[in-house]
Amino acid sequence: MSAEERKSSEAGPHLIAELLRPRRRLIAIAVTATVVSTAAALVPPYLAGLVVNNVIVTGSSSGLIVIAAALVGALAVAWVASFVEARATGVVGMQALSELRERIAAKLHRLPMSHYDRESTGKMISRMTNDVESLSRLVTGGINQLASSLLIMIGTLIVMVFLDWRLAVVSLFVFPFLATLSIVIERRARPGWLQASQALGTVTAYAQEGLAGRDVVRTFGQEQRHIGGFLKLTAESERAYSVPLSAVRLFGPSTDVATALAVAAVLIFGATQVAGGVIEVGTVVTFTAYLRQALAPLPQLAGLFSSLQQGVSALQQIGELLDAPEDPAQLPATSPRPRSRERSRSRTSPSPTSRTGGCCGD
Amino acid sequence: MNDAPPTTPIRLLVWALRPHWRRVAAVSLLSAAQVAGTLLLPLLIGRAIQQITLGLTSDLDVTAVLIAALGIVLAGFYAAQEVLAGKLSLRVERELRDRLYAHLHAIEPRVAHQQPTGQLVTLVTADLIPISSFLGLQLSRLVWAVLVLILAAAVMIVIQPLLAVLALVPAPLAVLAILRFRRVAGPMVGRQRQRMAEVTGLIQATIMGVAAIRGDAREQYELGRFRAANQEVLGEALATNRTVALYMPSLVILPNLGSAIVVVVGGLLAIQGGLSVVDFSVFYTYLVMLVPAIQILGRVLGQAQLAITCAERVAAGLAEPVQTSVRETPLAPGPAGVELEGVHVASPDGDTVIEDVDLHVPPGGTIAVVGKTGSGKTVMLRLVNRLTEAHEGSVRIGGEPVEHIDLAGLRGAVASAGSDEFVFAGTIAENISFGRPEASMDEIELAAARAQAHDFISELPDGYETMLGDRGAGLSGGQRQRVALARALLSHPSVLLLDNVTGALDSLTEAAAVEELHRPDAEDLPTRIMVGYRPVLLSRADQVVVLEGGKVIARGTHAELLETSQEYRELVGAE
Repeated sequence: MSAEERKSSEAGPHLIAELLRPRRRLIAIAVTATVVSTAAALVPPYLAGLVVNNVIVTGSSSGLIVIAAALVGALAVAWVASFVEARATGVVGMQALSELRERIAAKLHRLPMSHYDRESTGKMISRMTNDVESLSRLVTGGINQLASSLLIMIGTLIVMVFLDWRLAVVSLFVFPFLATLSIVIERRARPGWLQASQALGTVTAYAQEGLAGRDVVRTFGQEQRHIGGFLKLTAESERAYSVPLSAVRLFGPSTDVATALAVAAVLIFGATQVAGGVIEVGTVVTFTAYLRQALAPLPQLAGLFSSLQQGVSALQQIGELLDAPEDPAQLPATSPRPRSRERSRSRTSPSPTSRTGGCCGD
Repeated sequence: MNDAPPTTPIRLLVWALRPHWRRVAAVSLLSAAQVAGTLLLPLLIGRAIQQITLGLTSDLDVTAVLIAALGIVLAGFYAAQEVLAGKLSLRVERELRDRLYAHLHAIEPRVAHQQPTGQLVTLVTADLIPISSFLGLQLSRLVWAVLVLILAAAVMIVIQPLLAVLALVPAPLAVLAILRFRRVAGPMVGRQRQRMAEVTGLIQATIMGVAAIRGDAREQYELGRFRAANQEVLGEALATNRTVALYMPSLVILPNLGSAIVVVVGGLLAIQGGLSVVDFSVFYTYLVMLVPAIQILGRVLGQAQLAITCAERVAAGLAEPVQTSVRETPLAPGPAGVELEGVHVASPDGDTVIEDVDLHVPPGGTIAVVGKTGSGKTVMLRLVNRLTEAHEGSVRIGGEPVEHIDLAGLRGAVASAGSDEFVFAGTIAENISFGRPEASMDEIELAAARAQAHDFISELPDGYETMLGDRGAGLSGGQRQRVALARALLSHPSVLLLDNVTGALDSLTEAAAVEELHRPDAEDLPTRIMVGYRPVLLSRADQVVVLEGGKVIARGTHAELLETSQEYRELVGAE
C-alpha cells in the first residue's frame, strides 16, 4: 500500500470517529435498544420449543397461558426497543451527515485557489452528491439493520450454546468458513468500490461541465458528440461497479450452502443424541429453527455489506477533500455561525490569488 | 427505450425494465426456483425429525444428504439470480442516466434556463442511485418475499388450515400499515430530495463562483446560506425518520404476533390430537420463513419510497418538452439575411423582455446593438439561434422562419461568442475546434490569429496543447473571450452573433479583432450582429440599433446616432 493509499484509508475511520464522538450518548441508547430488541426477537423460537417439550409431548396445557403471556410481552418489548433503535440511529446518522455536508461546504471556502484550478468542479460536487448519497443510504437503510442482524446472529449463537452445547459445536463449523469467505470477498471488492466511486465522480464532472456549458454545446450543434462522450463514461462507470458488486453478491449464495450443511450435520448428530436419551426431539426442532434464524440474516448482510463498503470508500474520498491543505488567508477552521444571513465582511479578507489569474494574464 | 417515457414513477420503472424482459424473466424464474427449493427444506427437516423420532438412522442419513444437496443447488440459483439482478440494475441506471442526459440537452430553452445546473447534476447522478439500488437488490428481495409468502401460506394451509389463517391474520394489517406509511412518508421524502438538490446547487454555485465570493469577501454570508439550507435538509430528514421509526417496528412485530398465536393455538390443537409433533414442527418451520418474508416485504416497500420519489423526479425531468422544428428545411450555405418582425419575448414571470422589435440585416451585413444592462440585447441575439424563443412575431434566417429550419442545420449556420463565454476543460486547440472537431491545426491557428489569440497561445509552454481547467481556468477574461471568438470564427458560420466579445480587450487588440471581422478580402463574410459599446466596433456597422427596456428607441449609422440620439451618446460615452 502506497503512502497515499494509506493516508486515504486512514481518512475514513478518523472522520467517522470525529463525527460520532459528540453523539456517543445517543449511540449508547441505540446500541442498548438494538440489544433489547434483538433479545426480544430471540424469545419466540425458545417458547416454541417449550410448547413442544412441556405442552405437546406432556399433553398438559397448564403452562400455555404463561408461554402466551411471555410471547406477547416479548413482542411489546421488541416494538418499543425497535422504535427507540430506529429513532436514535436515524438521529445520529442524519446529524452526522448534516455535519459532514457543513464541513465540506466550510472546507470549500478554505481551500487555496490553486485547488480549484487543479480539481474539476464536478468531482468536488460528487463528494456532496454521490458520496454523501452512499453514506445516506448506509445510514437510513443499512447501519442499524447491519448491527441488528449481527446481534441476532450473535444472540442466537449464544442461545444455541445454552440450548445444547454439543449441537452448537457441530453446527459452528460453518462460521469460520463464512468468516474467511467474507474476508476474501471484502479484499477483492474494496479497491473496486473505490474505482467505481471515482468513475461515477468522472461522470458527475462531465455532466456538471456539460450542463453548465449546455448553451455552447447547443450553439455549435455538438449535442451528439458531447452526449457520445457521456455515454462512454457511463459505460465505464457501469463496468467499474459490476466488478465489486458481482463479488459481493456471491456471499449470499454461499450462506445457503453453509445453512444446508449445518442443518444436515445437526440432524445426523441430533439423532444420535436423541437415541442416546441425551436430548429430546423438541430440542432438535428448536435448535434447527435457531440455526436457520442465526444464518438467515447473512444474505441480507451481504447486501448491506456492499452498502457499507461503498460508504467506507465514499468516506475516504470525502476525508481526502477535508484533509486537503488550506489557504491560511481564508476562513478560520472553526468559524462561528453567523447570527443573521446578512453578509459579513469583518472576519475575512480577499484572497491574494484569483481563479482566473492563472498562468497567463493579458 | 426508444418510445416516450411514462410520467408516473412505477410505469417509468416498468418502462426502463421492458427492454430487458428476458433478464427480468430469468431473474424471476431463478427466484421462483430458489423459493421452491427453500420451501422443500422444512419438509425435509420435518421428515428428518420424524425419522429421528422413529429411530430410522439410515433413512435419516439419506435425508441429511438431500438437505445438503438442496442447499448447494439453491446456492447456484441464488448466485445466478444475484449476479443477473445486479448487472440489470447497473444497466438500467446507465440507460436512464444516458437518456436523461441526452434529454436535458434537447429540452426547450425556456425550460432549460429555469433549471439550476446543480439540481440537474443531482438528477443525473445521485437521484438514479436509489432507483438502481431498488431494482438490483430490493426488487429481487421483494419477489422472493412475495413468492415465499404465497407458497409458504399454501403449504401451511395444506398442513393445518386454521393455524394457517391465524398465522396470516397480521399480513393484511402489515399491508395497511405499509400503504399508510407510503402516503405519509411519500411527500416527506420528496421534500427531502428537493432540499438536498438545492443544497447541491448551493455547493455548485460556491465552487463555480469561488473567485467572486472571495473577491467580495462573502464567505461567511455564503456559508450562512448553506447552513440554513442544510438545516432544512436535516429537519426534513429527521421528520421522515420519525415516521419510519413509528411504522417500521410495527411491520417487524406484526408477523411475530401471528407466530405467537400459532404457538398457543397450535399447542392446544396438539394436546387435543389435532396436530402431531412433526406437523407442528414443520408448520413452525414454515412460520419461521413466513415471518421474515412479511418483514422484508414491509421493509422493501418502505425503502421503495425513496426509489419511487427519485423515479418521480426522473420522470418529471424526462417529461420536459423537447425543442423541435416544425419542418426540417435546410439552410443554403453562405451568408444569410436575418429578419426580426414584431418580436415579443417575456420572462417566465411574464415580464416583457423584448417588445415589438423589428430588425433587418442583409446577407453579409453588420448590425451593432447597444443598450443598457437588461435592455434585452443578449436575448435578441439568442433569438437568432433559438436559444430563446419568440412569444410573438417572427424570426427569419435566409427568409425562412427559424422554427422551420432543422435544428442541427440552424446551429451549424449560426455561431456565437460572448463576453463570459463558457470554455471547457481540455486543451486550447480542442476548445477552438469545438464546433468543428475535424478542423486541421492550420485552420485552428488561422482562426486564433483572426481572433487575435495566436500570439498569446504561442507564448504558452504547451501552446495550443495547453490544458485548461474548468470554465477555462488558466486564462484571463480577455484570453477566454478571444478563444471563444476563434471558436466561433472556425465554424465558418452564415450568421455570427457577438455579445460584447471584445469588451475585455485593450483598444488596440480590439481594433485588430474588429478589423479581421470586416476584412474586405475575406470570402463570404457572415452576417454579423454584434453587441458592443466602443466606436471602433460601432463605426464599422452598417446600422446601429439602440435598445431600451426591450424596445428599439433609435437606429441609424454610428455617425447619425451621435448627432440624433442623446441616449446613444450617453451609452457610448460621447457626452
